[in-house]
Amino acid sequence: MKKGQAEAQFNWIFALVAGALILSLIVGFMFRQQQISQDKANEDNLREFQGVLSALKLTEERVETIKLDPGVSFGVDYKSNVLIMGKAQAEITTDVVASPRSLTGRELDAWTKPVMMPAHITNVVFLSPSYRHYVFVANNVNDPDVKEFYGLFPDSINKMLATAFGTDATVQNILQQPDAKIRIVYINMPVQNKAALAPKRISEISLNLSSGTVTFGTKRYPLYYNSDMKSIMPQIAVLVDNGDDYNVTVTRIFDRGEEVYKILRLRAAQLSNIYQWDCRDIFSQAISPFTELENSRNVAGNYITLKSYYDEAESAGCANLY
Amino acid sequence: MFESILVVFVVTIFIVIGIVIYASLQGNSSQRDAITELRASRVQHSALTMPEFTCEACGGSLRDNCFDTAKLDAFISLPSATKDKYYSYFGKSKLAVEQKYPQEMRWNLYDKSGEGRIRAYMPILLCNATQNTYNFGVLIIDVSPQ
Repeated sequence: MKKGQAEAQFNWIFALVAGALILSLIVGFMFRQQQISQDKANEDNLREFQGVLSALKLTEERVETIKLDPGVSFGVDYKSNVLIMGKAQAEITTDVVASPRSLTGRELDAWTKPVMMPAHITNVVFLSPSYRHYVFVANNVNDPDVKEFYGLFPDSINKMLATAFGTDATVQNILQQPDAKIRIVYINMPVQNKAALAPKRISEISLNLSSGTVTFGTKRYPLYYNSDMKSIMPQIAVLVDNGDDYNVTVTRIFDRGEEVYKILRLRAAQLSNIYQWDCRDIFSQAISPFTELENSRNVAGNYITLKSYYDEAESAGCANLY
Repeated sequence: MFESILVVFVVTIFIVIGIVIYASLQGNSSQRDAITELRASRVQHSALTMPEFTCEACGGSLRDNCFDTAKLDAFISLPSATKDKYYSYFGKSKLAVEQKYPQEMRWNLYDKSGEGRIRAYMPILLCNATQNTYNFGVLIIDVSPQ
């Protein structure tokens, strides 16, 4: 081979290698840009959703429908209290959200409830994808407690009340809808294992309103169910996927309570120093139940005590206790 | 001749790259400002609805944009370790309440601010629970980029 021929061949090889390198750089750059713009879109969507949740939290007893763009879906990580979309994460700035871990579909039903223990602690934002159905099962659907509990959930969600006898037909009927998922809630009766019909589409829990417990699988958790607080914890249990998420959410509410009661206790102490006579006595007596609520979950007992002090303060013409 | 064209070509490419980098940095900076403003508004909403500050216990009908001064006194007396718990609500920001009328007073509620703040003001009512009176004040929020 002559020298000129070898040089020409080498030039070709060099041009090919350089061309491939430049092409791979351009393609890599394009993929990277695509990933960056996707991450940015995810972050924007999360921020927008975060804003919607913050706005919802300002309201009480409000029912809304949130429309989601196609392809937009959020995940909820209860342990870290963050919303997730792709690689993007955003803190849940509203105090407490109760929902399944995956928020997908075209619409989300959202409603809020205030937590009164007995002072206003926070508002819980409940979120449920519109493909999710709730079947409440009880032996006696005319029982006033069952009816009252069923009535706590807004009419806009897919909910129905069934007897134990009629559960199969109800569930089969819903399963005919291709994307439907079902949460079966057994009230005052054990789980009947209907999830075997469609394991990925049916989940079951059992609420015992009389003993105040909720059962997820084999694990049992307290419901903190009493006549004044009944609307919150059981609703959280119905919405979340599992016992761990329920426990984290309930703990977050009690942590908020601890923070609020700390302030109310200090306020009561301060006002008892300013007031004279009856008001001073009432406010100084209220310090003890506030302190107990800061340090324990004994809501029921202190609830009644604080309510009685609240009434006394009101009739004596003092400032409100909480 | 060929060298001159090459030099012009390379210089043009450098200028274009420079413009693209400058534009993207400018874009990032204005987006960061927009995000910080959004956060300032969220912090404001959080503060205005927190039971730790609000006027529910004052008993009057005025509850919106209203803080209970006894609760503010209680809040500022909290140890700083307890106030750290509020980082998840307020993040890198500074919160203060100033009473403007009848007499001037100030409560520095929370301070975890950094550099480059955006300031937001919100007129509020300040309730005195024992006298059942309402004074005028302003909620001042300084938010730093996260």
